[in-house]
Amino acid sequence: MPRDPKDLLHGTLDLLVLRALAGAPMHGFALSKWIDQRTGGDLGIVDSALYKALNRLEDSGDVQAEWGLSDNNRRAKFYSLTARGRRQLRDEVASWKHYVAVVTSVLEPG
Amino acid sequence: MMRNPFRTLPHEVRRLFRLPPTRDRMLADADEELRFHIDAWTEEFRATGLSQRDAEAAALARFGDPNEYRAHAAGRVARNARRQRVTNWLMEWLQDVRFALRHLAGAPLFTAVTVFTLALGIGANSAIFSVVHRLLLDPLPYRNGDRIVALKTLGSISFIASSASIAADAPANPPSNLLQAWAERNRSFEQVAGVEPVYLSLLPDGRQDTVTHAFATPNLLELLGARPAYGRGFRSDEAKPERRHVAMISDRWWHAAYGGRADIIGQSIGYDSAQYTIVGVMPAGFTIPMVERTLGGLQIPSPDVWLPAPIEETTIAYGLLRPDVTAESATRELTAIANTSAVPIRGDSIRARAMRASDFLSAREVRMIAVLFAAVGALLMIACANAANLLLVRAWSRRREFAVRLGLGAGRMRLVRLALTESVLLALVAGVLGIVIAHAALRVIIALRPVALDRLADVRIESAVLLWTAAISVITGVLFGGVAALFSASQNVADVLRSETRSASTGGVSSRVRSTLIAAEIALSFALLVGAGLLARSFTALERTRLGFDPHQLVSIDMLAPGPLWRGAQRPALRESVVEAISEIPGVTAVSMGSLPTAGYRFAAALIAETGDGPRAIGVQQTVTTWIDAHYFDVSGIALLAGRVPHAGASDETLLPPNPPAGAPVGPRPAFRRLSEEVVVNRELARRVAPDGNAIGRRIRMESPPAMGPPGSDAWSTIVGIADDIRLPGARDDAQRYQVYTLSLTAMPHPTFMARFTSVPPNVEAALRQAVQRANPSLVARRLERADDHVREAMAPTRFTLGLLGAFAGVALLLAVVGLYASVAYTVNQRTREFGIRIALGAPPRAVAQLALADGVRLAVVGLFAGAFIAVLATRALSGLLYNVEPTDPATFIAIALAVGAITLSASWLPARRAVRVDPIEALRTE
Repeated sequence: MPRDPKDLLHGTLDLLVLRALAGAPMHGFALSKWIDQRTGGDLGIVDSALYKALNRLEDSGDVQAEWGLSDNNRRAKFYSLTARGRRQLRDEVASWKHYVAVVTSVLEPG
Repeated sequence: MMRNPFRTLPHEVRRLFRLPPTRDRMLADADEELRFHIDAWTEEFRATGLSQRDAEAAALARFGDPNEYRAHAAGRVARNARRQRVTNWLMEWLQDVRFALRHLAGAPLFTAVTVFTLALGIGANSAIFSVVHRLLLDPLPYRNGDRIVALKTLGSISFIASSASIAADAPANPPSNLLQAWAERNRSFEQVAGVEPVYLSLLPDGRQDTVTHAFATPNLLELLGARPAYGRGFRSDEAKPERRHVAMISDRWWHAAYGGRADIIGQSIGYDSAQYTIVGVMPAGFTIPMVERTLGGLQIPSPDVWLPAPIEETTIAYGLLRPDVTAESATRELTAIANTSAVPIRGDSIRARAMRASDFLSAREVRMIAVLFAAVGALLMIACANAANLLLVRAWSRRREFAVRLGLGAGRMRLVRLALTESVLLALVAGVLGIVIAHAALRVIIALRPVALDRLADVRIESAVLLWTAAISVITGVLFGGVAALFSASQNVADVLRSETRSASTGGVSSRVRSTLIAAEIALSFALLVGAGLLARSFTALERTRLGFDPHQLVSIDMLAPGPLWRGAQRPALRESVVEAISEIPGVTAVSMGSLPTAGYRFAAALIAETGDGPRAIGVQQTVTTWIDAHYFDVSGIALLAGRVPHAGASDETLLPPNPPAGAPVGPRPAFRRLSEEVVVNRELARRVAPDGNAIGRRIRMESPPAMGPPGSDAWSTIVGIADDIRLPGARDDAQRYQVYTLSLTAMPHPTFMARFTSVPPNVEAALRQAVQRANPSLVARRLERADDHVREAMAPTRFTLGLLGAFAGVALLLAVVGLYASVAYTVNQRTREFGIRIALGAPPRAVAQLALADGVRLAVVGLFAGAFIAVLATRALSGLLYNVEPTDPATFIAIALAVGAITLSASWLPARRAVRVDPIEALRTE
C-alpha cells in the first residue's frame, strides 16, 4: 500500500490511465476526454497530470507511444498498453478491489 | 577529431535505422503533443458555442500550467538521455568484449602462448608479493598488528644460541628490572605485555608428553587484539601471587590431549608440583609473536600451557603504541628510561629499541627479498615484451582489417579501446592462471625457506595478494596492449590499403619496436642469469668452507630433567648413565656431553684476560660458550691443537637457583653464566689473549653484563687447551669467532648429549628417546638435532635465493628465446618471396641463410651488451648475498654470455634454415 499521499494519487491516476488504454490505443486528448466522461470531471484532474502519468508509464515500460494521425488528420502521439502494462493493470485492479472491499467492510455497519 | 556525422542525420533516417531520437527532437515532440492537445480541446469547446478566445482559455485552464509541464518534459528528456548514454557505453563495451573474445577464440595458439607467457610473469610476481606481504607488509596477523612493537635492548646482556644469522647487534630481551621500569614509566604505549617461555617442562601427573609452557601477562591477548579460541583469557588480577592457579592451553594441545572437548574449562592440570585450573584456550595457531626460530636456539614459539605472570617475571615484552606515537620516538623514550639513574642497572649505557615485526629481518634477508622482487619484476617485463611482440605481429597481420574499419568511419579511440579490451582480457585470464602458478610456486618457496624466514611456513595467497595480482594484470594488459593499440590506431589508411598488394614489406615502425623488445628481453634475462650464476658460484664456495669439525653422522639430543633431578647431587652419576645408555644404541661410536659445534650459547660480555701487565679487556665483546665434558673434542671432530681438556672445577653447582617452596607456582629461572676453573678456547681467541702465542696458562673471565648473573659469576678461569677454529658456511666473521669450552657435569642449563654414529639410523629419534628413558625414567628427551642440518641451514639463504633466482632467470631466458625464435621465424616468413627471388637469381644457400640469420644475431649481440651493462649495475645489489665472488666476476659474465649467445644463435638458426629451403617457384607463385 502506498503511504505517501502523492504516491496514492499517482497510483490511482496511473490505474485510470491504464484502464483507459486497455481498450484501444488513444492520444492524450482522447484520454482526457475519456476520463472526463467516465468520472464526470469529479476527480478534477488537470490534463498536465495525465501527460505526466503517460510519461511515467512510458518510462517504466507499461505504455508505448507512437506517432500517428488523428481523426482530423493531425500528427498525434498514440499510446497503447504493452504486455507488461496489461499485467500491471490486472494486478492493480485486483488489489484496488480488494482494498476497497476491506475498507468498505470496516466502514459499513455490520 | 572528426565530428560524428551520424548526429546530424534527419529524423526520418534515424527512425528508419532505429537510432534513438535526439534530445532536441524529443523536446519538439513534447511541444507538438501539447499543441495538439490544446487545439483539440479548443475545438471541443468551440463546438459547445464558446468564442475562439474563451475556448482557448478553457482548454488552457483544464490543462494546468503548461510551463510547469514543459519543465517536467525537459527534465525527463535529460534523464532519459543520461540513461541512454550509460546504456550505450555498456553496450559498446560488451560489444568490444564479445568481439575480442571471438577474435581470441579464433586464434587459439596465439591466445594460449600469450596467456601462458603472461601467467608465468604474473604468477611469479604474485608468489613473491605473497612473501613480501607476509614478511614485510603485514607480518603480525593481529588486529593491532601495525601498532605492536617488541621492547628490546641491543647488543648487550645475553643471548641464547649461535647461528650464522645472528648479528653482533642482535636484539636481546631486557632484564626484568628494566622491563618493569619501562612498563611503569613509559608514555608511548597504551599497554605493555610480556611473555616468558620456559623451555623445560613436563606434566608430572602420569603423562609422559613433553609439554612446553610459557608465562604471559594477563593483557597479552588484549594487547594483540586477539581473542581466546574458547573459554576466557586471564583476568588482570590473576597475575597476583595468590590468584595464579589458572592456566590456558594451546588450541593444538586442546585437540591433541583433550580431543577438543568442551568440558575442558574448569579441569585441573598438575604442573611442576602445583595445580592449575584451565580457564580458556589460546587462539588457534597462536605463536609467541616476533620470536624468530633459530637453529640450535631454544625459543619455543608455540607453547602448550600458558600461565599468568606479572610483567617483571617476563622478558619478551611488547608495547601497543599509542596511535600518534612512532616506533622511533618510542625507541628514544625506552633508551632514556633505561639510562636514567633510577633504574638499578650496572655498567655502560644501554641501547634500547622498539622493534616492529619487520625490523626482525636482518639486512641480508631484506636484501634477499628485494632481489627476488626485482627479479620477478624483470620477469614480468620480459613477459610483457613477449606478449606485446605477439600482439604487434598480430596487429600487423590485421592492419588491413583495422584500416578498413578506419576507412568506414570507426573512431581511432574506439579502435584503441578495442585493442586494449583484448589485451586486458588476455591479461586477466593470465592473472587467473597466474594465481594457480603462484600457488604452486609458494609450495616450492615454503619447502626451500631458510629457518630465518620460518614465518613463510604459513604464507598464503591472501586477499591483498589477489588485489595485487588483479592490479598487475590490468596494468600488464594496458602496458603490452598499449603498444599494439597505438600501432593499430596510428596507421595511415590509404598507405595500408595500397601496400597490401606488396606484402614484402615487414612494416618499419612495427619491426623496429619488435626488435627493441626482443633485445630488451635478452638483456634482462642475461642480467638475471648473471645474478643466478654469481649465487651459484657463492654456493659452491660455501660448500667448500673448512668447517673445523665433522658434521657427518653427528647428532645431539637435549632433555628435560625435572627440578629435583637436575638440582640434585646425583648429577655425575646421571651423566654416566645417560652416556652409557646412548652408547648402547647400535651404530653409536662415541658419546659426549655438550651441544653441537654449531649451537653454543652466545654471551655478549666483554672478556677480561690476565696479561703481563695485569688484567684488562682484550676487545672481545662476545663469545660462544659450550658446556662440554672430556670427550667432547673426540666426538665433535674439533682438533685440540695444544694443551689438554679441562679436568677441574665444574662449578655450575654453585650457581643453581634456590629451590622454590614446594607447591608454589613456578616462575622463570635466572640464566646461568659461569665458566669452569679450567677452559679450552679456540685459536682465534687464544691469539687475542696472548698475541705472543702462549695462551695456555693464562687466566680469563667474563665481565658480567649489567644486572645479569648472580655474584661470583665473574671468577677467573685458566686456559688449559687450544682448539681449532670452527666456522659455519656463510657465517659472519664475528658470529663464531671466539669460542670458550667450559667443563660441565650436566651441560647446563639443560643436559645436551652428542653422539657420533657410523651411520645415523632412520629410527634415531626413537632410539635416543628410549635410551634417555632407560638412563632415568624421569628424563624426557626433547629435541634431536643433526649437525648436517645446521650446516645445510647455514647455506639455506643462499640456496633459497639461488633456487628462486635461478628458476626466474631460466623462465626469463626461455621466454626471451621463444620471443626471438618467433620474431626470426616471422621475418623469414615475411621475406619468403624475397628469398625465393634471390635463390632463383643464383644466390648460394649460405648467403641466404646468413641474411636470414643476420637479424637474430644482431638482436642477440645488442641484447648481450645491454644485458652486461644492466648486470654490472644490478649485481651490486647482490653483494651482501655473495660469498667469495665479486659482483662483477668476469668468469661468470663470460660463461653466461657464451651460454646465452649459443642459445640465442640456435633459436635464430632453426627458423633461418627454412629460408635456405625456400622453393623459388613456390614462393613466387603464392603472391
